[in-house]
Amino acid sequence: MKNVAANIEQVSRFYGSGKSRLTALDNITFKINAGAQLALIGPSGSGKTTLLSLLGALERPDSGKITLFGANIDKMSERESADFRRHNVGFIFQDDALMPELTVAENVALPLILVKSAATEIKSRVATILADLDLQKFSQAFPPSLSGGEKQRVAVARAVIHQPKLLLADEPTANLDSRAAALVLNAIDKLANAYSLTMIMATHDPRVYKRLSKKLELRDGKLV
Amino acid sequence: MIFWLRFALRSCLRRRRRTIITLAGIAFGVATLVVLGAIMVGVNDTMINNAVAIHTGNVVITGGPLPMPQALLRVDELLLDLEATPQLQAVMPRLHFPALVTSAQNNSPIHVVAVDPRREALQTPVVKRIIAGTYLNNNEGLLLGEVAAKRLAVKPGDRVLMVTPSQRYDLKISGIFSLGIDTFDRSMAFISLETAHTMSDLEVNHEIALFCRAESDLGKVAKTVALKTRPSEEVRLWHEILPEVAQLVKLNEFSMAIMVLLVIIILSFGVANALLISVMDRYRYFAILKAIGVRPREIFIIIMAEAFFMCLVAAIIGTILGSSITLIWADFGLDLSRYTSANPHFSVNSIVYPRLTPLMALAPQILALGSGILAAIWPALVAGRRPINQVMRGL
Repeated sequence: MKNVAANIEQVSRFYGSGKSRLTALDNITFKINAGAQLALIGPSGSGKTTLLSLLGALERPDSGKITLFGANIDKMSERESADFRRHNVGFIFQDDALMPELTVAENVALPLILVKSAATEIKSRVATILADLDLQKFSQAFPPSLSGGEKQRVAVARAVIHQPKLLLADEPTANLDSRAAALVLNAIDKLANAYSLTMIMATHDPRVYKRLSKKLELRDGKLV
Repeated sequence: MIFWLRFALRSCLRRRRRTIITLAGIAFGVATLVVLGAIMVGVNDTMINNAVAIHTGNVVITGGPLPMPQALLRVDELLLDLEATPQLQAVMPRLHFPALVTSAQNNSPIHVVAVDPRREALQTPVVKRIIAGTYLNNNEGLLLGEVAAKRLAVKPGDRVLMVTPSQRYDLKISGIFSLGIDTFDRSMAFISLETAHTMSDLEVNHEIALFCRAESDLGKVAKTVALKTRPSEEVRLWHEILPEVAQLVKLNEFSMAIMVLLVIIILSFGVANALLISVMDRYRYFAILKAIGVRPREIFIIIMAEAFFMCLVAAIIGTILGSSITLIWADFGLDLSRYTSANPHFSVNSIVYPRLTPLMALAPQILALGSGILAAIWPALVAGRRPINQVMRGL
């Protein structure tokens, strides 16, 4: 059990009620070991985003139990969930999801600010990660001035700078051309390996999931 | 906390159009209230000054009746005691007695006031309202109201008989005044104190009218005066003598308070609406922040800080704008004669000079700031409490 990052037991999630009730996840059970890099594949509507939301403590299952790094996240209050996310989870969304009023450096620094890191440490870690991803020249730029690929690489930096235990990525290359997508995937690989992160990436792009060691396929809310 | 405040400030600066429109609405409301407040203060000033100048003084000492020589001595004593009071702008001795003024054609009951023409000329409006003849320039004669002069069919230079309970005096009409207030123009007449000296048989009531440099000195002056007066004398403030004017002032203030309340309520709805739209526009944005680990309380702080910054800046801009308009306007005044010609409280001067008071300059901005912050609570709660799962699908 020691090296189990996530334990998902008989988890179901429904949306709506009565006749319009939709089963997003149907009695899912699986485990992920710490340091694993898992591709969550399946067509649109198969439940990938719902599963990522549950694993990121963004929502709670209607039934079943989710344990992340020993913590039962489905019993957490909203504040406890927020605190759990700020320390343990990094998110990469379909598009960049950067804060337009913050510079690139400030966007990247945000998770470290939330965990109250020292200013000098924040400065040095931001500089290092931006240099690693060849983004240092954009340090003081605002997100709207960057290209889609550059923004997404900044989002990758922001997702991992606080060295979360779990990195969740929801189709991070969906809106990018193949060259930009390759750069983003390289960045994710580089940082996930450097920080030994457990990673779950939802995708239906074969070029993406071929890069990952394990695959889990969802269809109509069930594991295939 | 400082980070979230800076974050909120950046957010305001980043969403310039929204911020400018919200700022402009609040600033315009605050400026309007400052200007309206200054006009209200100006209207009250004009009413009080008019009433006080014609009728009384800010503080009035009355006593008597005393025989004329004693009354003259008493007013001299009081003048000596009070003239050096620093809060006083003018001190005016007056003696009052009733008389029947008779001309060849008619007679008229008149309230006669003996005054010091030199002192009165500096303060009272009668000097500026002479329509025929002259004021009591040589301390001679009788200054009569226009309506009384018509009734008696007299003009300057004519002679009339002033009949008192004890004596008859033959006096020349020195001039005729018209204050535009029927009671005054019909039943008031003025003679000089020098003329009054010759009327030693009369019993008169004495009065000292005191004009303060500032309305706020009223209490201090009343206390000083109380120490100098005799038990038989009465000290009254203008609002005790003219309760109808005091009531009008209160009514104005009450109306203004209602106006302020209405504008502030409208402003609050404006702020709440602007922030709610802004929050609804940014559900995705707040969902991202929450996903990163920002707590609902911190989202609440961001929205509240945005409201605080916008309302603070708008309140300052509004106050500067309103104060500037008021100061410029205060130079040339607002002529209300078209609307006040039949109003006795504006008969002497119907030009209102808007005046800024600390309360009327600061209250709108404090209220706008307070109400803006209160109005932000609901949108801030909406942003903080919105479940993330409802918005994650759009990410």
